[in-house]
Amino acid sequence: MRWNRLAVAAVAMAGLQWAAAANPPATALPVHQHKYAMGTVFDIVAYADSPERASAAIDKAFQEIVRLDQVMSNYKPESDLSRLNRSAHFHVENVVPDLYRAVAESLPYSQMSGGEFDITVGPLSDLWKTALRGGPVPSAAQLAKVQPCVGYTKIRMVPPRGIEFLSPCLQIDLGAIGKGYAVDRAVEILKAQGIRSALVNAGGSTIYGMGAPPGQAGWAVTLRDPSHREGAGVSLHNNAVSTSEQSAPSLLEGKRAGHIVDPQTGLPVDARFAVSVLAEDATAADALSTTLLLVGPKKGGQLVARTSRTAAIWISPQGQTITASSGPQIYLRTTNSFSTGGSR
Amino acid sequence: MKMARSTIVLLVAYVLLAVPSWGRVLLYWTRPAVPAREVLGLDNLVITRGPNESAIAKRARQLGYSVYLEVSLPQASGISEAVSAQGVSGIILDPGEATQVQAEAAAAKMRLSHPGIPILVVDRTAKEPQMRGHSIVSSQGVLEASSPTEQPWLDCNLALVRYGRMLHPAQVSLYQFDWELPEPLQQREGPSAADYALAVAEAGAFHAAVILNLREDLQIRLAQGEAGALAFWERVKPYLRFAQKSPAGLQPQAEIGVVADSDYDWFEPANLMARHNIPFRILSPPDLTDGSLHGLNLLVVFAAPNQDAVAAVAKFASRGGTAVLVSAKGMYPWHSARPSRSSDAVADYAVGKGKVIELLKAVDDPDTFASDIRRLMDKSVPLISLWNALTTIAVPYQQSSSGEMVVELVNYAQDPLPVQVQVRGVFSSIRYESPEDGCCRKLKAVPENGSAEFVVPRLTTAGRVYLSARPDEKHQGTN
Repeated sequence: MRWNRLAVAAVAMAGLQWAAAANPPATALPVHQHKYAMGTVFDIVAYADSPERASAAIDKAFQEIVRLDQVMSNYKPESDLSRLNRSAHFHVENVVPDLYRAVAESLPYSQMSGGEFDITVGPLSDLWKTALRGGPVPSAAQLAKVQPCVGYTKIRMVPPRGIEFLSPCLQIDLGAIGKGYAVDRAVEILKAQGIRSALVNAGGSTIYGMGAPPGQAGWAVTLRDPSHREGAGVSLHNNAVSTSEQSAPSLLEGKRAGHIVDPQTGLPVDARFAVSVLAEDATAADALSTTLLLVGPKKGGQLVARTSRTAAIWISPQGQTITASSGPQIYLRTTNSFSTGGSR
Repeated sequence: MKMARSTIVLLVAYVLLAVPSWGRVLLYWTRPAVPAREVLGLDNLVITRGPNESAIAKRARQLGYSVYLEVSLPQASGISEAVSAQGVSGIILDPGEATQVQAEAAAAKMRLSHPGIPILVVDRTAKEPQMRGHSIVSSQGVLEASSPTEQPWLDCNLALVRYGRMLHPAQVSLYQFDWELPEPLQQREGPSAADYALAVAEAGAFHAAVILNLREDLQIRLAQGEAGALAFWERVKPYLRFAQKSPAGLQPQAEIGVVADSDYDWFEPANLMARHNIPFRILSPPDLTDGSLHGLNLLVVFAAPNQDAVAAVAKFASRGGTAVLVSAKGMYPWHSARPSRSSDAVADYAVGKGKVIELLKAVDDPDTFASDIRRLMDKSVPLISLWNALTTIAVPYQQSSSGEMVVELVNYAQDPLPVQVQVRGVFSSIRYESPEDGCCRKLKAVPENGSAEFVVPRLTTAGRVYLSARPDEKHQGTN
């Protein structure tokens, strides 16, 4: 379906009327802080009745993000995830609740995508990371050797806190869902501190808009557009958007590499478009954006149709756009778009 | 022969006079009341032309400051009286709308009329150093989040400093920027002490000089000795002391040459190369000669090369170097052989022991380009590599007399983090100092592929690592 400006305007007007009651006072000043964590910069903007109160709430939200980095990092050898990756092979390991929950929340996306989204893809990704840093492209033999290490069905969840790996070399990497999970937890902290209007942004790739800024229907977010001409955007109001895109190809070396690897072929996904997904929470948006990049627009449109309150847009470097939605809207400055299965 | 010697002596004297002896941070001062030097923790104030000019200069000189007078290009011809009346220690020339090259020509003229007084050109195109919350902008009062980027966006002035060094080899690169305060709360409160600390740390690490703006209300409160203002500035002073403490005689190290002309196509790629910790120096097109490329492994040519430059590039490649020609157009001698790889975007030619890569278009993705250059550099043992350091810039220097290496570090995130570093060479003593923890902590290194690998345990805003091939008896252990 094409989203036209009239539809956008109508929704925006309705949103404005609804939002007027819940918005912070027009005189409130936003407090904006940022912090480096999880290999990216987190921004939080919050409105409150005083800047001091907003600032204190943001500090607490950042503390939560830093704490989760210590839980979910696979770069830090002392993190809970690193410990799990060292010790859970054919052995049930009890983990902290956040790690259990993040792993558990990732598994439905693996099932939904038929294994395209998979938090066990790490051993394959590591081979390609070496190629991305200028090392040799992994051989078919190297890829075949690590392929048995990969597969979400080899993770056994043992409630309430146990995780077991049913492969001797399985490793979990929460890179495709961890930032979204951290954004959602930061939003919970802000809510608990009495904040009703805030934007939590993990490096521009996963963003949650709580409430709306004063006088606005929502938080305006411009989406990643590799063509730089479509002007795609969303207005966030108690929902999230996430964007995934394969690493840009080398200009000088012409090698095919990339940080997003298809767990089934073992090869970097050959997709040049950027995919943005609008969903009810940041965890879902983060996981779905990677999933939709991997499965492509056709299957992705069907997934969107089956998932409530979700929308997606694929934008190619040439400016071709494909949208799909089960409710919310993504708007475009131009009309060079067409829909795929699952649009309403 | 006698003539030649005296010319050399004059040239050396000129260079010595032109190189400023002051520290690396200057403050604009606009209020007649001036605090003591101990309060500010620095010795250099900059005044601009205006009604308070004489009063500020007089008071500042009484307090022992060196006073620099900043003038615009049109004001430059009529300043003789002010220079002698106010006893200024130097003149800072603001190019305004003129280019840096035009300003340097004007400065050269002024040096003839004011012998003995340093005449410095300030670059006003600098940016406030910062790690951007890289996706939120204020647009007509509406907060808006935009595109993701691969890594944290750092506004850093290293490319500008390197360009300044190429333009004014006899002058420490001097720059100035305006604080970015897009949000209402920032406008109300002004830059934070951490903002000042980062600006000082950056200039110190790049061995450049920066002129900082202080809000007038802060100037007044500092001069009055108001407790809040003094406490605010006390948080900046450790960084001032640290920046001024950098050893003398250090030469920046580079293994990449960037040939840049005045159309600035090179600027953003060079900016991103700085952010990828690629040690480079900038060469002007006339500098592209065989002799100027000594010590470089890789050459990136943004300026269209003339015949002599093409010959220098070919010789550089034939000895084993890699040359990347950007927006390569025309016929070159290496075209006599078939390219080893060719597409509509790029062509590779084997030349002797090395190669020439022709990028047929301009660089439209500077970050990807810089990543490519980093990968090419990493094929041999690179001079310096960092891990867990997406917000850190490291600049390697070498002490020309002792051969000791010094690596200056700036962390734009300003949150403590461990940084893993590899520096090419064998070192028996590695010491680390920082404004927060003082001098010096001994670091353990492991040899790794021709390099020394070590971890800086806690880099907050600024840090300095001393690497010596000789065992250091003076600084054993931690203190």
